[in-house]
Amino acid sequence: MSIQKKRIETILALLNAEAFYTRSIRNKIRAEFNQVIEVEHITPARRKNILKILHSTRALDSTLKSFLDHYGIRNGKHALGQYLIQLAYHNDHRIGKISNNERAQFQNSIVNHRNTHLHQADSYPSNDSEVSQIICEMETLLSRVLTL
Amino acid sequence: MALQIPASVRSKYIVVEQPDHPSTFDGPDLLISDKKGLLACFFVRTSERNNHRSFFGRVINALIAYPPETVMVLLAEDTRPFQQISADYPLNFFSKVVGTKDLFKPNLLFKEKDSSRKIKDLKEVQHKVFNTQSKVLMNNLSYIQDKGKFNAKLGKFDLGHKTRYFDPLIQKDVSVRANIFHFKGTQVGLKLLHRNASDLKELRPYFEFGANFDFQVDRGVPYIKSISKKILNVDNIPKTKFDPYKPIRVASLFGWYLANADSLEEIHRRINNLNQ
Repeated sequence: MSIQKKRIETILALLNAEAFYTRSIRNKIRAEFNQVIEVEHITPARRKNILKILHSTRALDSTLKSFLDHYGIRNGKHALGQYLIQLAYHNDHRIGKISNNERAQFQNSIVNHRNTHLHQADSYPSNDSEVSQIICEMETLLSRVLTL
Repeated sequence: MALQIPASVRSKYIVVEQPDHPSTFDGPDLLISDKKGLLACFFVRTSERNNHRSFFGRVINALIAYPPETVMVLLAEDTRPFQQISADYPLNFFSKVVGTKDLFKPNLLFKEKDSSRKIKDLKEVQHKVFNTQSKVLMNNLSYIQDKGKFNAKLGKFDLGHKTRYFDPLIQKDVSVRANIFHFKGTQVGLKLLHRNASDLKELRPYFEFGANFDFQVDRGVPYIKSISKKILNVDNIPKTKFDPYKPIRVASLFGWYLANADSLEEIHRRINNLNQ
């Protein structure tokens, strides 16, 4: 199994045991992660890279939304930056929180980088390494949320 | 150990051999997961039988990084793979010790739920550790940005004696194998990274040191007072191809601040910067 597939299978195994990871979102999240692998051979590279970020983003956003809704702490927020704030400052004693340092770290490493490419016309990641960095930070955030 | 997982288990559960977690340098040998829970299974590898700190380093890393409800299981046909360590040790790290046949019935193992007190303690440790990781990581990324290009030709300098510490598993003071020195109240590691080797594997002894030095496991919880500050002097920015930040992320988890110092004065400056 390639390293990328091994990472995705690990994340899916972690998610599988979670109460918020219901049947209704399970197939959708898996489908998005599979797309990250399946677009590997698309050319040119900048098209492949923007698609990888798009599919990873959709997996991350949907998972976090489901998590926050399960605990009733989304408070109507819709954007990833706002989800991070909810994860850091919610009032539900059943689950933990990320620290403000972590919130700032993920805001910088995921939200700011991702928004540049997804919202700015003709903006693409400069190379495969930058794409891998953003995607792996998303996976890190997911794995961190599952420890809360 | 080659694990023969039956097709009936693979069809019913998500099974991942040698999982790749973003925040572990190694980890469990097997994950088995379904709606009822997550099993993280370890067995003692041949290379670890003479190096128990390598085995426990990755167990401690998994205890920190995996969800607190994860059932940690030791697969052991041999109840005492480490001769120097008491036979009771597994109970301190794992929820259950099983033979490989028990893997065919993961449902029974999922029932080995831990107490709410243990999970609460584990979450508190994780919160502390990840908060520290975040601070160290931001500092490391800032250092790398300010430094620009790393100097690949580092000179040698004398940092005195190698670090020694008390190993509670064998109840003895031990000296570290890696190049880690106790210098001016700080642990300083030195590592020249080989171009043709994985940086994550090359830095493994430093991660293992961090796990065994700062954490004390009691009934499945890796308790810690604080993560000691450590300086890791390297000749190149550690990276891996697929997850470029992973070596720095894991180093930061264990409190390693990166440096690319070519003199004792530079090491001093890096230490002083941390103390401000």
